Amino acid sequence: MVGALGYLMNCTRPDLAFAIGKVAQFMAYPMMTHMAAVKQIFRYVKGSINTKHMLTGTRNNLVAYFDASWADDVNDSRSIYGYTILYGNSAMLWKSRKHKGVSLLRTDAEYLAATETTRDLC
Amino acid sequence: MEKRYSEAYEKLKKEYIVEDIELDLKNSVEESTPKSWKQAMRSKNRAFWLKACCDEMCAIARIGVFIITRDIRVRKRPLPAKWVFSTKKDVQTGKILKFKVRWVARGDLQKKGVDYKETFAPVASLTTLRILLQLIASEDLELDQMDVVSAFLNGSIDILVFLIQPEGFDLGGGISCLLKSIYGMCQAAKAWYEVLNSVLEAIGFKRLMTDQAVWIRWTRDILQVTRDKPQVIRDKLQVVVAHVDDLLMGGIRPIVDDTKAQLAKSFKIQDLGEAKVFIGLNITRDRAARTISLDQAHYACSILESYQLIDCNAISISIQPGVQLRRGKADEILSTKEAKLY
Repeated sequence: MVGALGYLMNCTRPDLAFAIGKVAQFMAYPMMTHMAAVKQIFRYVKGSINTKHMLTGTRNNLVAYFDASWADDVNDSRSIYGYTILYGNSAMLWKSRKHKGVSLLRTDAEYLAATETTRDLC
Repeated sequence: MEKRYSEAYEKLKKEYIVEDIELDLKNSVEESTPKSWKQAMRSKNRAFWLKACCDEMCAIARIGVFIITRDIRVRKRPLPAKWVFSTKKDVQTGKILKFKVRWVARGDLQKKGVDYKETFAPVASLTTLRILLQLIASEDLELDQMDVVSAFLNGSIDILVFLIQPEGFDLGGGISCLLKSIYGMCQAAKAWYEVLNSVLEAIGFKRLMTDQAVWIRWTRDILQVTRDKPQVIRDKLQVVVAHVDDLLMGGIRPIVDDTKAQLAKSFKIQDLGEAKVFIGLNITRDRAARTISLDQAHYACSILESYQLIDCNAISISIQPGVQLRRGKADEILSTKEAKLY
């Protein structure tokens, strides 16, 4: 179920990225609560089934947005970051991921997110 | 070759006592799809299946996929192959729209290094597709789609592969020596990709370094390039995006049509007109506002259906803000079946 949602997210639905990232962390040992969370995403998808990913904008400029949380995961205290790259006003690429290691500083988490974003920009 | 197949077809018609009923889809009977030639010939729809088989054979003959050899010096074991039957049904009524048959090699029995070498074939990445669609939308270019009929039969192979004779079609013994790739073969996708690449390059396209399944072509119309309007060149950009046998092309009308005509010289193509659905993405276009929208409502519906969640109550948040999903023993473990589903 998570894989099916992941494909949907990858193709047209950046709004699902964070939620799917959360539930996908429990692929190895899924529990009841995790299943409930997955089903909630499905219910959300049902409510927003006609959402379209619009490609618009006439200027050819490249803009990237990113953000990071800091140590907010109860399981391993790693931070989660997300970014999206816009080309001419429409999202071309999006991602929500957990950092590879634990960040001790909030700034650290943010800078790491910036690094990851620029890596995809190049 | 084609003539021989039509002769064989007539013979088969007699053999399986296919009344010369009009091949009207109204006369088709609903039943499960046959799994083998024998089953197909026992089916009530055998007239349709037989016709479809013959059409497939004619397509193979037209492209010249194999030659028949009776050379006894051939020591290589011929690769088994089988008929694969399928139907295309109307989504709403469930009625059969088309009978499809393919003569498919048993790729699972091919040996690497003996029957094939490389198998990788690239497809365009979604990000590239989105960027190109955005460009097409903002430049207000045409976006057309076409489909190559029996694409894999066009791929040429560089290795000697022998195949058994098509079941049912009596061509007087011997085995077939493949000149082109055939469906089911491990290297078919790569072989097709390479042929497509060489054909596109021959008509002036250049493959992108960053995405190997995208080709672009700049057509310079020198008359239109003036000093005050150098941007005219940009209008002459044309792109082709390939996803195996589905081609998406963007550019201005005369150039797109020209490319289509050029490609039609090499392959049998089906022009689908303006792009509507590409790799499962619905493409809706608002040309006045210069936007293209992509959606997957169809896919979303189908996954909801396959997990029996189509009747669930819709909500407007995907995950509770600040929710902490814990790992560990805190709550009940899912049953193995459910865990697999997850």
